[in-house]
Amino acid sequence: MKWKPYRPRQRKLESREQVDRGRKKRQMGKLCKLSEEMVGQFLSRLPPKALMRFKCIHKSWYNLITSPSFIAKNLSNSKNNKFASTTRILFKRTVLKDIKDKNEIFYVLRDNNNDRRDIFLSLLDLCNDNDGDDQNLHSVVDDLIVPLPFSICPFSLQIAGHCDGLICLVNIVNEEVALCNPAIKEFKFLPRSSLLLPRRHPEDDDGIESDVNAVGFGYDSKTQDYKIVRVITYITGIAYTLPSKAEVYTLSSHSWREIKIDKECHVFWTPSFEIHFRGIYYWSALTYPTPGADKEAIFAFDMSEETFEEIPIPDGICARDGIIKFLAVWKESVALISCKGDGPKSFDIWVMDDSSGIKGSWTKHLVIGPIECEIPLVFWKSDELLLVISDGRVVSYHLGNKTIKYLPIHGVEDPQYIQAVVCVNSMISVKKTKG
Amino acid sequence: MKKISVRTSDGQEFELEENLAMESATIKTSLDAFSRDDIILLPNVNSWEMVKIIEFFTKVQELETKFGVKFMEKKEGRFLEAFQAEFDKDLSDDNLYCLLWTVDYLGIEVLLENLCHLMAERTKNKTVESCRNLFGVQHDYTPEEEAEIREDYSWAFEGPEIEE
Repeated sequence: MKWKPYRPRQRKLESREQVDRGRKKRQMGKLCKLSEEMVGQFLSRLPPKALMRFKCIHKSWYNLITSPSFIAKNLSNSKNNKFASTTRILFKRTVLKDIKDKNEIFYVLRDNNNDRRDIFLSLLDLCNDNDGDDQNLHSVVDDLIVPLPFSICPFSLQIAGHCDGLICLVNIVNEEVALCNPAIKEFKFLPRSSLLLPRRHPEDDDGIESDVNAVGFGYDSKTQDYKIVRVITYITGIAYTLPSKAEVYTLSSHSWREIKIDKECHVFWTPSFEIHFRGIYYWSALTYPTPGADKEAIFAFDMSEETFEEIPIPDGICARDGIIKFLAVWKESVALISCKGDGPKSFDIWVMDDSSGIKGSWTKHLVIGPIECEIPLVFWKSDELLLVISDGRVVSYHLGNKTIKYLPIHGVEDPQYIQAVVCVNSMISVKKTKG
Repeated sequence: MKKISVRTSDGQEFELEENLAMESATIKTSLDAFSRDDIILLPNVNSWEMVKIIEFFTKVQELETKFGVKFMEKKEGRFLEAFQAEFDKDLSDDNLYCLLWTVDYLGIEVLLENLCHLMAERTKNKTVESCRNLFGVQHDYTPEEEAEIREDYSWAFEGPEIEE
């Protein structure tokens, strides 16, 4: 170590790095010590993994990182990041283990062997600027395995909604609901509510059975709370339908509360349909305008008002006629995408006009394709749509130049079991805070 | 355009364009209180830092002319990337830390945002120890307390991207 002549000899021996740093800062003629506000400013721009690690640095940093105001600032930076060059996408997909050759895939799926397959929540960061000739979009894939028995089979597990980095998962078979934040690897099962009844005995004709018809997840901007809404139908042994009930779970209270529902609708699950946008959750449903007649429509729930609404869809878009429909958020509006049948598909994009306050007014904006694909997933940019093609691979389709680029992931089940959502990083915890 | 004279801690004098000088809330306050003909003394600013700050605004003007967008007003990825790459190549971690302090002292909002982002990019893959050293933070957890955090969030401490 080289010492400058004026350096006091009785100084405690510091590491080379500390001496260098100290020397530099003294040369500056001032002591550089960042204020807590500055530290907070820079920390709020860090990704969740680094923030979790840096909790260890100092207790004041721990307190800062876990404070509600910091979490809000961090979320805001995530959502409005001028410096972001990537978009984060979360996929739900099925992946097989220990597969030696392609033929095995068929048998594992046919035999419904849960030891050989996992359901993954996979996080990717796609580069926003991908104008190059590269046919592939590259990204590190961060996989989170969904624990059994929640993931009993791919169809049974659905992403019921997502918001601000939180994902709501439902298991259709056992009616369990979980909330997770994949960025900080938190996973929490929700308590069972009293509206759900135990299984009815097959011999018991008078017994009532409950069935979860719809689940949605979103944000109430008035109370600044995250909510899960659930609609439950009841049938007796002789298939007589009783009025439905609804309930809401809030993250702040960690409990369920019954709410009023005055519309009789039957939600039916459609791949890539359910979305949450600006405080409203949308499902695909059958409504009953007159007794005996049913009509396909959209069923919606307002997270703040806690009310339900039926929204008509353009005429001629009927599952009965072989038309498949999907909802998406496109260019800051709710868009309905419809297409027909097998083979290469042309997609009609209808945008819901809500400027006049009347819901259910649709304008056809665009026709895309034909594209050889199975189902669309999500618009991750206004001019790029993620699709699943027939071999289970996920691609990005550019609306402008009609090219496709391959993503480094795929799913092995029926393509309609793959789900994708555009998400952000957040530090929001789903667990109950102690004390 | 009026020029404002400033003198840094090591005695060097700089002539700044008035609009550049006004980007600093601290200099602006000084100018409002005193005559514009006086030299403003900046005992907390080093000459190399002043050079970097002037370089920042020069670069901004260059890029605004080249890309035709107002800096930071529109989310223009290539613009910011080009800017960040240019600005950050000669800046060591310690220099960045000091520059961040100085820009906070001078109150230059737009540069502060850029430097915070740069600092975040530089530190996001650092270990706990190297981050403590950079920020000059003393260790205040007991070994047991720190071990508990490391165990609870072990996944945050692992990964190929984390620097040694």
